[in-house]
Amino acid sequence: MKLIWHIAKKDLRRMALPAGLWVAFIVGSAIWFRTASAGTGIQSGEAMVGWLPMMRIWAQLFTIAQFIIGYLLAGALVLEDPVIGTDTFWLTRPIANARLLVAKLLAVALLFVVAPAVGLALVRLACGFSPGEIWQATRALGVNMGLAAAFSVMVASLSRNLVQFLFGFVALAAVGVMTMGRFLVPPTDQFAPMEWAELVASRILVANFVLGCGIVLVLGWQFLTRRRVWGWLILASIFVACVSIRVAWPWNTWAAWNASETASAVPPEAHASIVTKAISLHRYPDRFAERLLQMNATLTVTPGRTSVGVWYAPAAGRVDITWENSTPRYSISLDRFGGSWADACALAYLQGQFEPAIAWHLFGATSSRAQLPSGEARISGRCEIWSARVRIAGELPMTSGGELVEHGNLSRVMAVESSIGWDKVLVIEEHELNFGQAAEVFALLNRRTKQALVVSQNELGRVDMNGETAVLRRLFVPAERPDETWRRDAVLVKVRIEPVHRFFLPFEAHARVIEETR
Amino acid sequence: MNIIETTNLSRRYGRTEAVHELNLAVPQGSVFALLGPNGAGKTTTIKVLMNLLPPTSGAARVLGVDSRKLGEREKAQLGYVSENQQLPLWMTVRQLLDYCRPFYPTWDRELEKNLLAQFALPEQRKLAHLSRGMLMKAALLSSLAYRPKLLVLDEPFSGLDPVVRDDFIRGVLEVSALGEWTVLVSSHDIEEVERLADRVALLDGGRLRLNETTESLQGRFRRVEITDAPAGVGPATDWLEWERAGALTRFVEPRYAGETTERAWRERFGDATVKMQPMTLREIFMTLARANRTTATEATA
Repeated sequence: MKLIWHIAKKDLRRMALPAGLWVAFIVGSAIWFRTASAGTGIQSGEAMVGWLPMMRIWAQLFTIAQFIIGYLLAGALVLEDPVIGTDTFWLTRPIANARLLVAKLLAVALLFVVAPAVGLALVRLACGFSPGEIWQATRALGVNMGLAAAFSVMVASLSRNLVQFLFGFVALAAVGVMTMGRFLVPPTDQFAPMEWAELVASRILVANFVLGCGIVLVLGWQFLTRRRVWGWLILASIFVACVSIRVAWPWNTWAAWNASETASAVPPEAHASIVTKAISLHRYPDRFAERLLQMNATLTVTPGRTSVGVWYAPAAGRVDITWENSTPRYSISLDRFGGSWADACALAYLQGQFEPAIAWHLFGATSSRAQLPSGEARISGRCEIWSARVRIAGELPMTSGGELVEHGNLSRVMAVESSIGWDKVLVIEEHELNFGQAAEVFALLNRRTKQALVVSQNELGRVDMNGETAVLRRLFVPAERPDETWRRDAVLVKVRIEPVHRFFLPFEAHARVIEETR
Repeated sequence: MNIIETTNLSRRYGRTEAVHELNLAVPQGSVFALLGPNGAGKTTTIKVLMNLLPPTSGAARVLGVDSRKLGEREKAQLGYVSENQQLPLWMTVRQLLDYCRPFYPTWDRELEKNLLAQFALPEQRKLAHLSRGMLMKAALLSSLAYRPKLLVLDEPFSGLDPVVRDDFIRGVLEVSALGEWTVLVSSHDIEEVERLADRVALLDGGRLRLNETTESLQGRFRRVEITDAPAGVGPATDWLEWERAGALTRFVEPRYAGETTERAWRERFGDATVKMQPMTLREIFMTLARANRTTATEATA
């Protein structure tokens, strides 16, 4: 261990200046991203929209530069003691290959994963983010940097010098884009059978796993044997294997992996009672006189005693509809009715404070004409439900310049516009850490009358950099109806939702199709 | 005991055979010179010995271990200096020594200090800023300070000016006198090696042409000049570079054995005047190289 650290220390010393400048660049760009603002008091949202493209260009440039420079530096660190070649200094010294590999990985991890993560963590600490938020954002950044560094180290282990390293990177990137990238995106046909979507997810999962193992294998092989031709052959085999898996992997591994991932989580039934209340099938004529099949479903959720801080909302669903003794089979993707998943979750949370049960509505339709046989249809499928940690981040004053600061997350009203049909339209700018799939919803809340209303929003644009997001959005505060006197005392609250786990609620029902005239 | 032994060692690069069935033994404590023209296979042989390249066939044992299995323990007893070695040029001389030291349990700080002074190396200067001679000295110092059992020098004199070369050789000679070290030095510069080596091997076209002590080599080769040799007398089968010009006959005797050989000459040439003189290593190798080339040409024809 002492010698490993000795070698790593040599590399740290060698790369201290370039890596230090690189980390300073990352930290500097994070500070720039944090402090860059559209400016308040602007009368029109459109006037601010010019700010976003500039932010986006610079953020993309900075992000690309960070990764390319980091990638090159990590490779240069390995090429300090090249694995390939016969004139390398370390080869004639008493340095075991495995020891060198561990030392290189240690140095790369410290310089290109830990150092930028710590640098950014310090910036975020200074911004007021909580240790939990910083840890999650740092972990996400560490994974990204780690993947880039691992790939870089692998290519460097196959290269004799920097020129070969660059050529190897370009060649692998080109091959990756031409082969793997083609199969990365699952089919977009939302009406494909559910099994097919899971199969595609399985293929991506297994191929990525094989690729990860392949990187480790090539790296180990190169350092331990230094036989480059075989190293490239192994890498080529792994590419072929990955492409084959993406094309032809036949097993639904994704479901098994997902089950094991969520096995340790508490199922929603432990927190809340979720009941399928109604399922119905309707056939509607569309404007081209085709008759589409639509399914409506209503679920109710009753929060239990243990559901404090954790809430549930359906994300999506998919069902297959079949008829006995008949071949037609329709697959329908289900969406929530009346807003996004985050809206549903926020509303469930707010209403759950006051009401014993909350209803969820799901609906979906076929995209093409449905030829329906007579008789009762069998509906089988499942609904995807997410549990999430939900909290009210705070109140946002509905005046220009009004600010809400929660930890390091900042929401600022840039302008208040008036628009026909709306009470007011708030243009807000937000800076927040965005790890995972956290979502923000704004709602009008009257705690005294126990009433809440989700405010619809329109995102004008968003820019991401190193896990931090700058968003411009419009909040449409609806005009008050005569029966909404409770809104006079309502405040605008920001609800922050962090998804925790995904569950599946099975559907199994029979229904007759209701023919609708319009 | 032999510190290096090769058995039918061969190494090919594609269709080119760089080393052909080499059988070599380097005795412990010797200064062994591997000589030969450029492309003779010296560097390839050394790279196989150092496990920088695997042999195509045959085997080599270094410090009693198969060269392909040289581990940390064996490498801690091996010193290697090569003209092509990529040194960490960003380091200062001091940093290089500090970096190398922990890898060697036998590192001698006192010897390091003495060699630093002897080689007059500026400790705080970066290797990148050293002259070629200084750089080689720094490499040599980092390969000597732990008193290796075997020191391998691959073309150490290339590109060195005469003064630096002399310094370098003196350095090697002085340190080799310090202990029971074995030195394997490869070079195409025969004159420089002559001062160092007590045993030489000649490689040509990847084949071993010769392997013996310098003393025996210089003892058995004589350049002979005969004046007024009787007409009709031809060369003996093993004489080299036989040449007759008027009354003067010249040849190289490769098996000179004192009185016995001189008697054989008298019997062959009668009362002719015989003059002979010892040859330098360079002359011997040039003679052998020419002879090999002639044999090869004849074989091809």
